[in-house]
Amino acid sequence: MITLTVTTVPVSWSAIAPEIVLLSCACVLLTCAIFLPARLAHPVGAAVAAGAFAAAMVAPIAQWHDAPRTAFDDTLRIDAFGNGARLLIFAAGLLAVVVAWGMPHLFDRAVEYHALLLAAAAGMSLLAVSNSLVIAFIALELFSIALYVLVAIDVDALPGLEGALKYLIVGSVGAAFLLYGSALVYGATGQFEFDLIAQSIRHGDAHGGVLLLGVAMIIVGLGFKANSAPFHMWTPDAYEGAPTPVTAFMSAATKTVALVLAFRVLVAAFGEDSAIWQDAVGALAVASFAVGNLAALRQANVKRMLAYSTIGHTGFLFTAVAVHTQAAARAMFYYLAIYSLMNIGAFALVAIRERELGRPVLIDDFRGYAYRRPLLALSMVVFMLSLAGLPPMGGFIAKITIWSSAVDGGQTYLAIVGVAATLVGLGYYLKIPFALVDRDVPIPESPYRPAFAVTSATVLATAVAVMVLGIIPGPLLDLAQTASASLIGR
Amino acid sequence: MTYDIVFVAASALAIASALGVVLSVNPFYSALSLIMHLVSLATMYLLLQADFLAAAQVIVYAGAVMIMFLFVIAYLGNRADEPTRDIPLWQLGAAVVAGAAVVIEIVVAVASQAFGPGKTVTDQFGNPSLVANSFFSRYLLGFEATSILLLVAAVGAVVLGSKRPSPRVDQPDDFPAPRPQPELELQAAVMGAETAFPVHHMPRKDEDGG
Amino acid sequence: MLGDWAAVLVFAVIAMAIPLSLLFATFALDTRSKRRAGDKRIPFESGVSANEFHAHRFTISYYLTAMLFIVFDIEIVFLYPLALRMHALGMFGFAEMAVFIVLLAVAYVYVWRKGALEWR
Repeated sequence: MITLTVTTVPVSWSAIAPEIVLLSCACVLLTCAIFLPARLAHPVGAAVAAGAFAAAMVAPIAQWHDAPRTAFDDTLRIDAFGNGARLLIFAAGLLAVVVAWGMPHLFDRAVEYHALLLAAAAGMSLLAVSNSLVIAFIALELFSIALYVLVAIDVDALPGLEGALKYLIVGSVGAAFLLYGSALVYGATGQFEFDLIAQSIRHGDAHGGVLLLGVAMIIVGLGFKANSAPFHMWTPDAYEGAPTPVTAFMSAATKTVALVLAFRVLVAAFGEDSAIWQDAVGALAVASFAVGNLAALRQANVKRMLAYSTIGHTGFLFTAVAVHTQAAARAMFYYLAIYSLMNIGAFALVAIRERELGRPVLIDDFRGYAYRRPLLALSMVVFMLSLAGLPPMGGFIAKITIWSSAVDGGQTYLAIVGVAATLVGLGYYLKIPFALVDRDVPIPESPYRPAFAVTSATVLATAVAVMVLGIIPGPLLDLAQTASASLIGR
Repeated sequence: MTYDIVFVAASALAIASALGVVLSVNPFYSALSLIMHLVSLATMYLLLQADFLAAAQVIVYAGAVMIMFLFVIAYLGNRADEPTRDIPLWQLGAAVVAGAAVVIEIVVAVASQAFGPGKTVTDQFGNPSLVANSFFSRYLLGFEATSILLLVAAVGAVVLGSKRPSPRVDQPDDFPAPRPQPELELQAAVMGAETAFPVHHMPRKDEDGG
Repeated sequence: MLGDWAAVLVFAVIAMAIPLSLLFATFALDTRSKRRAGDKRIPFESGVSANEFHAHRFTISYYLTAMLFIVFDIEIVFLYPLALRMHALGMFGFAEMAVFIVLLAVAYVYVWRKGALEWR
């Protein structure tokens, strides 16, 4: 009989308040809403999910200016860096609920859709503040499994199943790398918590070779989740096959959380040893620039093109990780916010066009669209110009801040490759604006269905936000400054 | 001494059975080798004093997970090995090169520095009570998050594994379970007796795998 | 320490020995003719031929049941160590276990309601 005294960990409710809100609502949906008749399930599910996302934002906003603190015996670190990521995730979730409103395929899976969306967001939220490789892995698996299912939630659609299968297999390989890397880091340092790993390395207790292997595998695992080349193979199929609201959520929230985790783990745990990972992350950034932008040039399907474009954007975000100064963290945060807005807006617009046509959307399907839906077409122009990085949109400021941080941080080559990638990017982003105003090509006649007011309003709102944040970037940059300062003192 | 013998035996078995998993043509043999592999790993956990982990490994992996693997292999039937049939040669070559690169990297990295004496632990290390203690202290959150993870996994299994309730409920399954067909069996028995050919070679039109 | 597990080793050896000895004995003691052709090749050569071995597909229900079995099996594995320390921990342990089991119950209610436990 073992008589050990157990010191239980103090429970910090405020640290995990958003997760509790999201998961309780998910459980309510799974246990109660499934008893509702099908025609009520979607409104109730959407209302509960939207309410949960809105309520989950309260705690991160209330804690915004608090000093960073750890919770649950050092396994969580509640700081503005994590809370900012949480806010981006919840905003993406809210928009995913709105974009899915009125989606016919979801009719008899509405409860599951919203519950899994909440669970995925809860996992991401936990990951954004995790300070331990253990919690990070469990949270990562939590949101990944929810997303694998969400991609295939329309089980009658073969592209969704194919995308989900590829995402599952490749994503599991990525998770396995992350897990193996975590185990090796634990073997080398004897710690799972980021700050304790850093401490162990500083004291010279760590086995250098094993640590190097562990860090390499963690970077590979993160590369899979951040859809960085050469670990991007799942991205086009999963993005194309998934229902468009899911694609919008994945592209914004998964990217945010993967980058936030990458930045946090590399800086907080291995910041002292940045020489061992800086060039590797830079190489991933260059590969992502090349693969994403070159492959996007040849796509005819809009969702596939946007999928390759997100791979290209990973290049910019990994540039910030490779630089890993405070300015880089600030630039990355601004970039993530703008990127989430413009990507969700663009995918929402694709969702509208998809419903009008009743089939996947090609670039040619936007020909002459400006003469039928001028406001939506104008929003699409805003998104494409912003994705391409042209002034006066938010995407322009985002790229400029990344480049300036790269030059200041001594990684000028990444800025140069980024400029080249942006020039290539013009080649495909501008296809859509030109198609929109094309008068000469006969417009394929499609049944004109009533516009989806809620989704259209979302598109317009995100377009306005992308433009306003580009013209007046100050407030958002200030928020990004607070977030970055909470992680890096420099 | 005993320790060394058990260690060498378990590692040899682990490597041999891992090769068996990869090299077997029949997926059932791969699955059986995998069981052997998991049991050898459990033995190594025992050597590291991780008793609870060893037991959980056998119960969860060698038990539950392997049952599902076997069901999936049986579900796929004779098409289970199809994807491995025609892999382009360059992919095989690239896989071998990449695998070799990883192995060399591991060897170089591990050999770069001598290992320290390692950590000494008490006799009770790895026993379920101590595992439980970590669930109450540092890994409380991980423990509860695991339960959420399992909840999501169950929901996901049901969403993907079950047909939607409407409107396709009246349609037959894509892969119908074989129903006993007395006429056919009788006919086969008669024919088998008359022709002395193994009757299980007779094709049946509803089971061509498609 | 390791000696405690010697019993398991003995158990495993005996458990392996029984089926292996049966397998071996079948071949060692078999009195059938060595020529294998036609119906001689099938396991039961008298009576009606076993003609039902086709490589047919299992239904999806097996997969679903096995998947749910894994999920609940892992939950049990997690509950076991907790049960050992229940008395030492009092209310804290009870609350932790209750949360765990409520989440398990949510999964159960959902699975039940969706009819995934019905055999189809």
